[in-house]
Amino acid sequence: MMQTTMDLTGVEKRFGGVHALDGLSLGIGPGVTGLLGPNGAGKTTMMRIAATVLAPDGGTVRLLDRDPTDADDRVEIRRRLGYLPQEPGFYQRFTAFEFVDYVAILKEMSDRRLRHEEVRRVLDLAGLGDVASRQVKALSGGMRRRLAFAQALLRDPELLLLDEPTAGLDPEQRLRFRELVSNLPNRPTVVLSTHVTEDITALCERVIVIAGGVVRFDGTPGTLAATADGRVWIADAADPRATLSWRMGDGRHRHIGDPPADAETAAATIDDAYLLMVGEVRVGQEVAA
Amino acid sequence: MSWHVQAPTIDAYVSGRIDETAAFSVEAHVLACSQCREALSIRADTDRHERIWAGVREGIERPRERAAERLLRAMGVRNDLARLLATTPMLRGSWVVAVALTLAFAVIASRAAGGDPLPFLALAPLVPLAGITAAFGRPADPAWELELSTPTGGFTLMLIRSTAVLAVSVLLAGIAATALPHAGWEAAAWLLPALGLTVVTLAATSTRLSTVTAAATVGCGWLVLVVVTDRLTDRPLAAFGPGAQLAFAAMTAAAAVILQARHTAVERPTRI
Amino acid sequence: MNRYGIEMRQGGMSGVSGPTATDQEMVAAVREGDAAALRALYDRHGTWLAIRLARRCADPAIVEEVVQDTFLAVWRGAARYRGEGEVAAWIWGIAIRRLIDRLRTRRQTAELPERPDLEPSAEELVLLGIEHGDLASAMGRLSPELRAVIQATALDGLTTREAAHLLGIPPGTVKTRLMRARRELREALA
Repeated sequence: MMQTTMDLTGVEKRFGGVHALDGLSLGIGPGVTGLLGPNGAGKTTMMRIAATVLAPDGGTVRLLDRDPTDADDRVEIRRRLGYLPQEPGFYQRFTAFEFVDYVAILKEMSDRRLRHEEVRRVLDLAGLGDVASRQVKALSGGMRRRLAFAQALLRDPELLLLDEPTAGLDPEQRLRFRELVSNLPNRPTVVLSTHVTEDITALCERVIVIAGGVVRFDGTPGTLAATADGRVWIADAADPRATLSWRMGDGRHRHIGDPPADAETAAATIDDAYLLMVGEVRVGQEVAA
Repeated sequence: MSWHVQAPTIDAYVSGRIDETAAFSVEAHVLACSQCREALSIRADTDRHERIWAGVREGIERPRERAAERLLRAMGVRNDLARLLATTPMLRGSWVVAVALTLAFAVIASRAAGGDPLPFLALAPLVPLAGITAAFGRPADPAWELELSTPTGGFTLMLIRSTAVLAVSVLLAGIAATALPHAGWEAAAWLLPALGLTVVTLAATSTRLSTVTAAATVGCGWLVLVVVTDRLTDRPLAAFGPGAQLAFAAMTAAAAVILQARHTAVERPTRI
Repeated sequence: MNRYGIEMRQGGMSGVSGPTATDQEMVAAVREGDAAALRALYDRHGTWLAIRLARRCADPAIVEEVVQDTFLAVWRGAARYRGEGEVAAWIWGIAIRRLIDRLRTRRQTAELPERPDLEPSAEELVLLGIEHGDLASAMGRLSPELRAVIQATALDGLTTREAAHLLGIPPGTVKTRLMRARRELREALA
């Protein structure tokens, strides 16, 4: 039985009257796991709880075989944790190097020489070696996200939580990111919350769909796509009977839902399956998490 | 450039086995000829070249130290703690100048009021509160979420930054207090209130209140207390007398206990 | 290649690390904070600088330190280069003064490396003759200490006092040796 790194059981979180997480249960172990779900569906809330920065209102959380409600355990968890928040904030006047160095200090690297070597290592990994001495305010949005990713890699964490890591990155940078994540040493537990389905198909052995505060799907990317088998079709014009339809580049229309008998079916992708799944779930008002 | 140094001469120059006058010629020429510089670069000692570059790179990337950080390290503070203290947000020149001006204004007000130290004594404890609002917490600290996920980025960081704010505030106020007329015990009567209000504010921030709200509430409460005791009792400076000082000491201790008890709430908030 | 075998293409911010950029363009890029441009500048100028400094100071550790400090100074002071003259000459000016400062603060003199007692080869003489004519052979006939002051002042561009610091002799001696050197050269070229 594989040891799970992250165990959530019946986790609840309310904001105002809305349940961001409504009895969420899952267990994640080593390897790369993708998290899909609409904005406001509780993904970021779940990531925050996993990163120990937010306490749930109910349920139990177990991380790296420790209890985050216990002060000593929590410190131990944080020592082995790397977190890339959805909206990372920076001190604008710090250089890239200074920022990562600051986080490295907070991660208890007190030896200056070793710390600087580690900072340089993660900056190089994230492709920011040339701009290490550039101030954050002079960095582009994509560079800042890579900077936030670099700090998450400090000290080779056992549990790596990445919330929208490829947002704002161009295709080449996304490719480098994927290469990096798939080559991390010691097989850490990586949880990737993303909207980019190529990240899922390229990286994830497992994908979890969270919608309406609970898990809607938990399996391989292939199995996810298969849930939409036979439920995707293409027509020249938009068919109102579909659950969802959209116009494609060639002018025809792709539909998901229950196809009519004579429909020209198409192979289902993860996007199709995901849209079908969340389209059928009533999601509450946008949660300000 | 019509003339270039020939390969044998280059080799001789690099190896040092060259006539001095010829060396002069090579050096004067190289200063103006990129092709011959290139010829020299090809014969470079790569290890030394990279070694020197590693030093240059370290020099340009090294985190910039403020004077405060250097001072702390000179005093024996460990490099990481010194950096956390010295890089507390808001502890920059502009804030220090603003505080110094405010305190100067308070001193002038005291002198103008015939030596009545009340304006200064009322204002000085508010200085660290203002610093606290900008030192950590949601709106002021952009990296709060990331920091909270680190081993020392929660409670410990809050204490470190608060210490820095308090230390600088006390230093500035202490200097300003020496300019008070008839400075006797009054010159230090603001110290305990400053400490007390700061700890109470910290304890208040461990609830759902934002740092700004907590500091503003505590600050206003303080001003009300000072004004009330000044106007409505026949003992001016009652808020600073020996009894009051004892009360502040007790309040500080109580707030510190509460703050420690709220450790978890600070480290892993229910509301963010 | 980093340890994951991923090739990190570190292109410069402003694209001036390519082989076609001029020195002036590179300095301008460094002024904008482009670290790749500094590296490119270092690749072009680091070697000749190290060799030339080593001919004025025998201690390789000092030479390395000075080269490193020079390029750090280039990084911080790129704004001060106003495009007059060669970048190489500007860099040399920074470096030689750094060397002098370094020797002064540590109260050392530049122990000049031992020079082999060489005659210029016939080839070198021919080439030098093309460039510098009789001056080269006249210089060759000066004594080493006279040549040293000529090198420090005329070639390295130092003032009398700076030359004095570098060579470890009093400024008065520098002046008298210069006068003698000039007189001997005048006589030799007459």
